[in-house]
Amino acid sequence: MTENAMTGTTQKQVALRGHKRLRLVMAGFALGFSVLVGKLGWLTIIEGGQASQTAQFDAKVRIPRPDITDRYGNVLATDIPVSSLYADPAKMIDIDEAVELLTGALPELKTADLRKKLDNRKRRFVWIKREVSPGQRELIHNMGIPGVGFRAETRRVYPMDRLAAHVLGSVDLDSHGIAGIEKFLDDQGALYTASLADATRAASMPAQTSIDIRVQHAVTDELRKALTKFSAKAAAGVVLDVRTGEVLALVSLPDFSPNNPKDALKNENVNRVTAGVFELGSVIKAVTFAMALDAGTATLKSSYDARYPLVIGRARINDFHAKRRILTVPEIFMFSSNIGTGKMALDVGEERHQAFLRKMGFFDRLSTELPEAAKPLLPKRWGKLVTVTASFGHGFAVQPMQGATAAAALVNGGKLIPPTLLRRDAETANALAEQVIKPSTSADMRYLFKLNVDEGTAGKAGVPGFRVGGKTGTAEKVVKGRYSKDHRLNSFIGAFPMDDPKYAILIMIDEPQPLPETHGYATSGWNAVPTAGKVIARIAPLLGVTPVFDENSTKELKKYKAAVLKEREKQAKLSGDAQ
Amino acid sequence: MLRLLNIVLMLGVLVSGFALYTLEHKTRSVERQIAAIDVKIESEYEFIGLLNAEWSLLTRPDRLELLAKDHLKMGPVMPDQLVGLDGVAAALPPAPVSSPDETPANQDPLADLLRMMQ
Repeated sequence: MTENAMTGTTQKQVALRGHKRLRLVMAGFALGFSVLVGKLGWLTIIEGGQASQTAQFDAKVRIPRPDITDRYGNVLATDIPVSSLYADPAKMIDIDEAVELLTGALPELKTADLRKKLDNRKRRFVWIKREVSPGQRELIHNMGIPGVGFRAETRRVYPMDRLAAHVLGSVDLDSHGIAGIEKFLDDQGALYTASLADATRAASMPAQTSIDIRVQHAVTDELRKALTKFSAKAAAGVVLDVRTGEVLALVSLPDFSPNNPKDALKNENVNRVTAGVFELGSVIKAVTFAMALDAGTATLKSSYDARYPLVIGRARINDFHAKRRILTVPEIFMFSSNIGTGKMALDVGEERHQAFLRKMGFFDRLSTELPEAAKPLLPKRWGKLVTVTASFGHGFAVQPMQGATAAAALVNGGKLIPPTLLRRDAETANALAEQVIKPSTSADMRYLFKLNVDEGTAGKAGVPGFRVGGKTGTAEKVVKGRYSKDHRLNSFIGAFPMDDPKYAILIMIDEPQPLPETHGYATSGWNAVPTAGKVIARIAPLLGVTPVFDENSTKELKKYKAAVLKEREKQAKLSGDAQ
Repeated sequence: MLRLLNIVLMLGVLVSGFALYTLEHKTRSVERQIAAIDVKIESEYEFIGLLNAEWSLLTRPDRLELLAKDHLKMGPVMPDQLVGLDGVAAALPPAPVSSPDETPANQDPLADLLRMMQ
């Protein structure tokens, strides 16, 4: 556009100017649109292919609670969808009719309660019933009561019911863990729970525990039988993998059904394996022996004078199976001599004894994944007398789980591995392990344990071929501030197969009563030990332990088989009579 | 010339508008399909979860033990019933005396069965 054209006044000039301007505008628009078209084509055709692949639909924000399974993936806890019935009283038209219809469909509802709930017209939301069955849901749906509706919820169910109840714990109505692994998933283990989340669908991988349901069931079953047979107050059992610290079974009786969460927090149903502390008694002698052998103050060939009671100040320490002679170290172990063990501990010295117990973890609260973990009860002052009593397991109380962990460390080559209820591989376990005794001491301990089952007080725990070793314990319980002769806590700790230990076991029976067939005795050898033997006979084949027979065990096998078959016949007869 | 261009552009607008509308319509329906399939998948997963729970309920060790007691003539394994791999050959039962080739023709169970059916 020249100066001339702009100042020109003729019509033609104006038209021409307009025409030119129009072209310019058109060219501008064409350019603009072609840029847009180009960009659009680029985005949709060239980049489009890639973009569609990465496109994702919004994942739901809420991730459901992970299932809990045993070590082989058998479901122990899962969520199932349920509907819950609610009402919006402000929207209700005829409350009387609604109450009548609802109580008709759900007989367990109380008319007065329901009316009270619905009468408050200001409220916009009340639960009428959580977890309505599909049939009832259909029924109520078809009634078409205004102001009443359903909400989809999930309900936690435990298909195996009582099995491993103390491991699983329980959840409340809003799916918050209140005990056991369920609580762990919400609290300390929140990070672990988050790691299970599967973002591609609103779900979680299952939380895999270390429990083996077959072992768990066998231990539970045998303990339950023992509980009734000996009219005991309670019983507990643990099976540990000594190389990884995984808990294969954790049983505490009386137990509860996690499907009924109210029972989980009852006092008598407490998890005795981790939430209670007990004076474990003579099983602790094994720890004292390991200490003395490791420190070198005693060897398997040394001997101690057990002719007279050990007198410290005003206290006299005596033996239950008093032999009144000089005993060698293996004999002290087999006869469970308090005098001998006390002297062995005194030889090591108070300081070193304390340091060793600390190293074995008896002075600290052992924490596994379970939130229920009790602190050990320790003597306030540590004198000569305490050293002696502690050497045979009196005067300090720890979780039974600590006893089992210690037993595992004594036989597995001396490595103390913190126990776990989740799956763990050998490498991780090795990284966590702490060498507490020399491997040679561990070999000596294996010899002592095996000897004690073959020839000592723990004879009834033996199963021919499976090379069981162990130590018994009969602790007198403190009743009204004194040790009572009639209230006992009996235990057995052991491991198998002793030539290359794979599994450690702890069995504990609280206040078993003497029976005619136990000749009036109620010491550990008559109840806890045979129970352990029965448990081992059931779980060793399950765990893939191959029996090995030598001359001795072949002879025992015959005797053992005859006894078992006799027992089975008796059982069959009993159940036959019952029918 | 300008009119022709206008007509062409007009047509272009109509055609692209129609194409866009159909495309959007298609997209919507695909979205609806996806949502429906998502719901189906979700309910399948829920169903799988239910079945897993039921499987677990049915394979409870105490239930299996009861069933085994009632229906099987077997008891818990005795230690001497377990044999290591190296002992398998020694633990095999003796080989059967007769082999199928030696069975006489009149003792052919399959033929008996066929005859019976006729």
